[in-house]
Amino acid sequence: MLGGTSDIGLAVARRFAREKFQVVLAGRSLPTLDREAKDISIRFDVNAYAIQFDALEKGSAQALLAALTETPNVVLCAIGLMRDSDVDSWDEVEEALIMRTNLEAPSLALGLLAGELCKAGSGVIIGISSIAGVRGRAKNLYYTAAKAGFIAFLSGLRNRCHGTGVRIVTVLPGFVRTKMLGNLQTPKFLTATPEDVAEAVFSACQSGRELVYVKGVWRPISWALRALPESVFKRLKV
Amino acid sequence: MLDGWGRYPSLTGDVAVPRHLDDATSVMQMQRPLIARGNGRSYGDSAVSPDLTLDMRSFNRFLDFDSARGRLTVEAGVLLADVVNVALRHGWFPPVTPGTQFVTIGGMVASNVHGKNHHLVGNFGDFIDWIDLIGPDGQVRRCSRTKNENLFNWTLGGMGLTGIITKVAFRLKSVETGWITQEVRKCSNLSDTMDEFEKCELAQYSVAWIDCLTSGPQEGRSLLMLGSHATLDQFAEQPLKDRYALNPRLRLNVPFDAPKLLLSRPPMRLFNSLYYRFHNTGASKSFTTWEDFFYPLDRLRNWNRLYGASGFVQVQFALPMVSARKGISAVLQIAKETQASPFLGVLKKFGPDNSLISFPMLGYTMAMDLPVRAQTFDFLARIESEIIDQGGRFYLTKDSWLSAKALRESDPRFLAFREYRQSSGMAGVFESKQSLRLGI
Repeated sequence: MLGGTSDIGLAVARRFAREKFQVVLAGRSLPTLDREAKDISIRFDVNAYAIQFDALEKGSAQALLAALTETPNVVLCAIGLMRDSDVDSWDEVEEALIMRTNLEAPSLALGLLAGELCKAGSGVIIGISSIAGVRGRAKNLYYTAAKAGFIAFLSGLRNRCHGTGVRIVTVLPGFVRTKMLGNLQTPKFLTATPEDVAEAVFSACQSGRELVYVKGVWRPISWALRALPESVFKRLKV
Repeated sequence: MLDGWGRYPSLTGDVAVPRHLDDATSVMQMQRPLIARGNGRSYGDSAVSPDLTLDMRSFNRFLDFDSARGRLTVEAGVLLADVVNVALRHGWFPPVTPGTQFVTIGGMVASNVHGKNHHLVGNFGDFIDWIDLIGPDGQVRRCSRTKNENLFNWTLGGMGLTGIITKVAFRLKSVETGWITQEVRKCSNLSDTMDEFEKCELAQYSVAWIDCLTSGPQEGRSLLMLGSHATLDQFAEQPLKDRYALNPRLRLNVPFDAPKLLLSRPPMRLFNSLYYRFHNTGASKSFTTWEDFFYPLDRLRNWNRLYGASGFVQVQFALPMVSARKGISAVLQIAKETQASPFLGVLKKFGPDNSLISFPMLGYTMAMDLPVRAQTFDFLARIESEIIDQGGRFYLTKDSWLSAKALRESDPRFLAFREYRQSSGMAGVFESKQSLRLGI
């Protein structure tokens, strides 16, 4: 699992651990990750360990690959960063970080890992994008753009890996009760828990589904958002 | 909106959800009176603060498990249910367990819970090696029987008022299987029940379900349930498929199958329906699973909702050996007179207890629940004075209604507890609605 202490990442890791998968947690805060790995290994009686990995660092993906003792069967990428940004507070450094964290870093890492999985001839790569990425919009402009780019990347990766035995799953969560969501009050019927996402991800791995919306209600909403012509959408504040 | 398991009283207040130690210590910097909260299974307002409540359920990692020696170290928010899940398949079980597995370990420490085996092994605290707490200064301290002993002893049963419990290291009990050999005896009245309690030395666990609605010669009739962990040799005659009873679908095929003592509806005459199931046999022996024996009420998720929106109160008191029989009889009488209609009275025997502030005392304990109605408060007021007169005391984990005066009179230990809290800077920092009400 790439993405350290991400709530969704850990929930998915636990879900797979429940099915007796060995778990590797890759992220930045190693002491915290060690504790999470220990918890997973005790709770589920599986081998679990943590690896230091900073996706933003040059060469980190190669180092990660070298550190893994075996090629994983499933790779989950839950790397992400969101900061509330609005028109008035434009900060070049901040926005660049948002773009790198949500698009550049995950894409480079997954691209490399996909190569390894293709060599092995099997495996699943799961990328956590967001409903936010289904269409470019003003709110959280750079986050939205990066997430949209990540959806396209995963699509491209799927195209590239077709026929190799490696599947690519794109996950589009709407609102999820995580650290990232913070104290924002969201409507209950639109909001999922990290465990809901984990369950949906696991199901998709079993069933072969490629595009996963959590909760499912976001699928028609997303379709509607994309269907609107630009001349209409540009006036909206969503 | 926060309340206790009895859904009475309810309060609005702020809730913080720490996930890591830094979250918890930084909350302390806000300098607001607060209380830590586990899974909210205490019946009243001991885990509710009018200001800030810390929901510790995300502070729930398993830190270490020595499966050879049965030693576990956990963060305070770990649920007992998770402990059973982890430990039982390695042949370990909680040494002391309350009536539900959906409590946090931190909560078990704060209440210093007892089980159906107190007369033999004592409280959960007796099996704890050390506890880490965040104190009023925001610092983490480790306490045990040999280090910071005062803090350790006041924390066991201290209702979370000595600090935020973050980690607990404790010992588990070795078991050969997840099955319990259970025996149920019909007892014709309170005297008979208590005589039977005194006789059953061999059973590891004992509890009696008391009929609170009968009077006269049948007053306090009960079903006494005895249990012990089944050993492998008890299954010599047939292969044991599910050794630790972890798979609910596999059922043991034995001559005596355990009758299910489940609440299927909120009956006031519950006891009658249970009692007459056994009317053909004076006693019955069977095998039952750990889940059915220890946690029958957990089967009904959110069973507290059966009592309706107005909620219910539970009362649990302890009486010393010398006045137990008289006191319990008096309480049953008062229930009749006030028409408070408690049902499902639970009686357990207590052994000697040397703890500073925990609830048990050598004697007996009875727990009853009552729906919140007009008569309820009359009943509570009267048994309050009855229990105090008989030298007994009340379990704060079940309390939502006791007055500060009644606590002082029934349990003078709390005066020393308050002094300790004040001199250690804990007073005013760690407060629950209950602690404010009771003046501790």
